[in-house]
Amino acid sequence: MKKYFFILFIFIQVFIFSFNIIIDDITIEASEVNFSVVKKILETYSSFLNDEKINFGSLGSFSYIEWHDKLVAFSNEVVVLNDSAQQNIFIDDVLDFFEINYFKDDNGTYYLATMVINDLKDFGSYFQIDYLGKNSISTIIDNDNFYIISLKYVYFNEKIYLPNEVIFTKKIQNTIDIAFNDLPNRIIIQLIQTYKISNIKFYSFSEKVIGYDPNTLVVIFNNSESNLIFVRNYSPDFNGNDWQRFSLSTSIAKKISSKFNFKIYYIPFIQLPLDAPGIVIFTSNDNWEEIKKIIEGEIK
Amino acid sequence: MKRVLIFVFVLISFYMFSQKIALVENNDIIFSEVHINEVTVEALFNILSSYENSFVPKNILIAYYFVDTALILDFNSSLIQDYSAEQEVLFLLQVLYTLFDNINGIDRIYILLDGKQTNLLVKYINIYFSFPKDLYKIPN
Repeated sequence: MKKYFFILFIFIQVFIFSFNIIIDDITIEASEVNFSVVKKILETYSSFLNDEKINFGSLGSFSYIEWHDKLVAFSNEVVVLNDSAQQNIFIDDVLDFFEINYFKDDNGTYYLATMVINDLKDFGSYFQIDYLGKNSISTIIDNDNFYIISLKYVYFNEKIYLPNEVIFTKKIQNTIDIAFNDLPNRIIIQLIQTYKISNIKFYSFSEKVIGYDPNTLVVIFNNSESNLIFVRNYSPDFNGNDWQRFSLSTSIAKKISSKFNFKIYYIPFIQLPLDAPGIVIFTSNDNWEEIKKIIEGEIK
Repeated sequence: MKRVLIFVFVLISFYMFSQKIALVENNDIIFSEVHINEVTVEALFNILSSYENSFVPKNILIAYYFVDTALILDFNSSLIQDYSAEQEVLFLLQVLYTLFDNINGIDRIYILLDGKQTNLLVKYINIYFSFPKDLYKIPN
């Protein structure tokens, strides 16, 4: 009888303390939090994110794992999280300690974020997303609203999003399509718009280019002994979606070039927007005033 | 007559087997013909950095890779970190014109700095995205 109670006790222990860690299509099953389980989870997850690799080893009676400047050490009696020794820890403690983002369901299954978005920059009609892990988002346009939707478990802005949740939304206009460029650890989402130059904004070379829209011609002036015009090149990475912006900018550059005999070069100055036509002109102050008038005349 | 033929032959040979490279004159790009025995990415950088009227420093190239039709160049950023806007532009144009004109089978160039894909070449030029061959052709 005693033997049955013992087996039942072990069974309950295993049942209560067992847990699953899901990383996309990888499942790690465990029934206790020990060195080899934590090592397996961290190794698998850091490799999945293509993030910093773990360090591990032994020191006396302790086996330790180091990741992102944090250290967990296991002995027979205690677990040490940095400087704090604990008798019993749960997997939640370890995940929280290493700042791993997860969703825990009612069955005690932990879904780790398949995509960790570190930065989402809104440049008007394009978005730049820097992330770790696997691209787990999709985009839609509905009723002049642009949405970024999670497809799996996505961490963004200190929140974990479950599949099919809205991560980001923005009111948009005149967008005919979306282009999605998935680069290493970065996604560029372009809202494809039709450009029609209706206004001009002049900036100095050191000035921050803000306050424009896709119909603005951005003209940047640098006082220089050179007489050169620069257009942001198109890039094969955009699969032709930056062609319209490029050709509009080039046509303006060619008009100035023919009047002033300036050479044109294709340089992606950081000040030139990806989502509006623009040029940079290197010339003297004297030429600049005249060029401004000509550009204004061209747009009218 | 024989001497004239030899001269013509040498001239034709030089023209057929010479390479065009981009150098700098009066704050602008100029193109010059040189003869290189073996045209490699390394050899082109050695030639570019051997001229006084060039903004391509010696040892700028850490490594290079070919991936399909792309050439990936990895530069040592410390050698160009003090460049002015003009120097940054001319350096990039020298590299793009020279490599696209002389290296066969590529249609785009990516630039890395110190082994990493970054936004800025020095202070003003965005190098995150690739450059297409069609815009950097040396005129005949």
